Amino acid sequence: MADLFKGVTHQSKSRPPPQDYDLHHELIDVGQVTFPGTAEQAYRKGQTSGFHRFCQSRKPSATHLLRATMNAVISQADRETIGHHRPRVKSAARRRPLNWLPPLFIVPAVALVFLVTIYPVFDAAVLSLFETQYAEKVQFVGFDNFIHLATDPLIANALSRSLVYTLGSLAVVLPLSLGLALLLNEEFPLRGLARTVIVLPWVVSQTVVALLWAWLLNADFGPVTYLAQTLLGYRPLFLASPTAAMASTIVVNVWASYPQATLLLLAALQTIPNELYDAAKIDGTRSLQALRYVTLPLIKPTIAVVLIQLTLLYFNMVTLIYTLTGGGPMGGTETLSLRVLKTSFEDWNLGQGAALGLVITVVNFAFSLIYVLALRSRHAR
Amino acid sequence: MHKTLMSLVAIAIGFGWLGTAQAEQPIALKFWTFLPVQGSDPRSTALKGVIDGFNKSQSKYEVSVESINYARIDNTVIQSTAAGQGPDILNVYTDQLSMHAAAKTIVPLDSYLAAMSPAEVEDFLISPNALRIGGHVMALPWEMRVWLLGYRKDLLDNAHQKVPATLDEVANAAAVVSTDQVMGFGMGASTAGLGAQAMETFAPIFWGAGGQMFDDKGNTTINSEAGVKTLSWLGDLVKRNAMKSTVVSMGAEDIQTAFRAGTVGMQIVGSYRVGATRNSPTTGDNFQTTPIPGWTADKPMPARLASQTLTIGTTSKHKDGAWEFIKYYLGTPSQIEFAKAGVLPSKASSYQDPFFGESSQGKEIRGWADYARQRGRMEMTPRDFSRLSEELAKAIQKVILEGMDPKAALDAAATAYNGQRH
Repeated sequence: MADLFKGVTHQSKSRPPPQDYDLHHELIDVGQVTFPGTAEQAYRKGQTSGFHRFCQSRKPSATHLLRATMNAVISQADRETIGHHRPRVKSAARRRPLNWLPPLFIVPAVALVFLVTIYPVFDAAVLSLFETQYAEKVQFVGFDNFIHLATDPLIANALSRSLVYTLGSLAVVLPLSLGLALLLNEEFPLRGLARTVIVLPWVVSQTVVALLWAWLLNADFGPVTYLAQTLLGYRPLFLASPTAAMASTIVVNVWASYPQATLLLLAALQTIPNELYDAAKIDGTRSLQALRYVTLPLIKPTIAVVLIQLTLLYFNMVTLIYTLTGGGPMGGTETLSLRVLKTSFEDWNLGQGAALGLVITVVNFAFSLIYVLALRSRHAR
Repeated sequence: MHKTLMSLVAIAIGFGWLGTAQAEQPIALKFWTFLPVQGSDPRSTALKGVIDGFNKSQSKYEVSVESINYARIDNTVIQSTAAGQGPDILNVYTDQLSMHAAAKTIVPLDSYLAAMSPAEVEDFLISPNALRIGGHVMALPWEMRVWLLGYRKDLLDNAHQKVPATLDEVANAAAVVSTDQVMGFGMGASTAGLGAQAMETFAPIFWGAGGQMFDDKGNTTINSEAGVKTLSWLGDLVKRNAMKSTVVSMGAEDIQTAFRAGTVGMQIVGSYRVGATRNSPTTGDNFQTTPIPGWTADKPMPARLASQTLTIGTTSKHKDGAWEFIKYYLGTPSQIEFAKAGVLPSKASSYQDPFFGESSQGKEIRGWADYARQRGRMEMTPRDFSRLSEELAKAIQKVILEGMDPKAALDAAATAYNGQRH
């Protein structure tokens, strides 16, 4: 893909932009493929690419179609960069009446977000101010539920376990995913297969992952335990002590979530032009230096996104932990999110559960804010 | 005028036909239970037979089953009922009955029970009066279950051990049969499944030591002398290598899987799990049951008794129809159908069926029922009973993993449970 892109770019740059180029961007449906650009424009660009042959044969190869599409898009991008038609665009925009169609299309999505996110948070905020009995509000108690949370040692312990779980998982997932992404970005035989296999854990649900690992790590009949016993001469107890259970849960979580980070980082790596590495090589950099001074700075925004996504995922995770350990033994894996579930639906104290849920929401916002601010400050420097 | 009249008549006939068609449609009743209708579990086959049987037996109602995992069904019912969408008929485990009554998800059955003859009421092996909450009978038992000592006959035979008659003998035999691969005695001591298996193992031994689970005010007294004696016995099993500390991460399902895999020698097991545990090439008929041995040979242990019950949902719009279904479900044909799936019928008259005198399975079930009648003990549990079970599981974990003093561990559990009640 990178080579194809490079070729198309050179091609488009070598050709002067047509004077009658219309920036109006319409879609031309060709068979099952949609081309951006006007028909004439696509045809003109296709003359030096696969599109011309496509028009003649009506049996295009995927490469031809892709090349023609890219020609159209990139040529347009080039012209926008050069700025040939900016005045026309502005004047056209001024003349054009306000288009209400886009906001109209957005309305269902906004309504859905309101219904399934904003309203429940608001409802939880109201509920957190009440004493509840099962699903009924019994009495308004103001901030009593929050005061109780602040003084309950169970909550403080759960918060510390949440931090251990989140930071512990991140500490393993990030280097692992980056390493895998770097490997998968290299050319090697069966790379496509490797990429597919590596993504597989991501498509398995958390419940299935937890049940699978609960079986694998079971101290009495688990294959991993048996294998470890055969190799080490003793039977490791992966889930039978608070510390070991937390470590095992982190490992399982890493297994379930590293593909997500790997894919994002791989996508980011693929956007780095080879010319930068060539230039760095000419300057005498070695592989590790290229990683440090070229790769990491360029994928830093993606790393920040991955950090935010995974932090929120880990901090809010319930299913995997609940199914794997139930929060035990001795509460050793009972995180804050799991406490919300237990308070709300095992102890049936919805008021306190809602209060705790709100606290978690605030913590999530805080995490996101810290990452974003950190990213911005680095950009500013 | 004539045309208008004709049109009106046609419309009236049309509406009449529609009305008739609607009247012929059976009323849909929703039945929520933990049992799936499909699957290899013999109880599922029996349930399907009962549902089909009811739907064919009359034309007024049609019951459809919604199967919800046993760990989620109670929560789902409470939430659905709050939203006005609860079931018509509901399966409730006796340990959760108080919770449903407090959450107002079910209605009293007093008026329906009053219509039954005294003989019919007395026919229940678990008296409906035992299911009274706040003076009202809230459900009727459709099955019953009793806890037994399950053991691997082949393991005991190979180790030249006889079937234990006391708890000391259980511990000794468990220690003898234990190997690197086999745990002599197993129990689920994790908090998974709300710590239910921990309580199921603890309760009969605790009762046998003279313990009472609650005082008059509803506070738990598991930290009594009997509780300490029981927890000490469980802790000693680990010290004697008769039980592995890995039980702290195992729930009821794990223990059953371990038993089927051949890595557990003995366990306290509910009668309803016997069939599934036997259904393995490793265990097969080598899995046998016997009454839970007492602290001494002359003082037998009380048998914990519980039941799956049927009741009517608060939001049901067709309570009479729901009652019709419950009556059918409690009838002898349905009871026999479930008995053939290894379930103990809840009514004495059902045991008159030839099945219980002819087949080995029937004879075994009848033996359990007799045991339940002689030594069965059933206590209505408070609505937050699962919280106590969970605290108890944590106490067992502390004793096993940290070597904590059993008294201190049980005190902590009692304080945590009693504290949240006030």
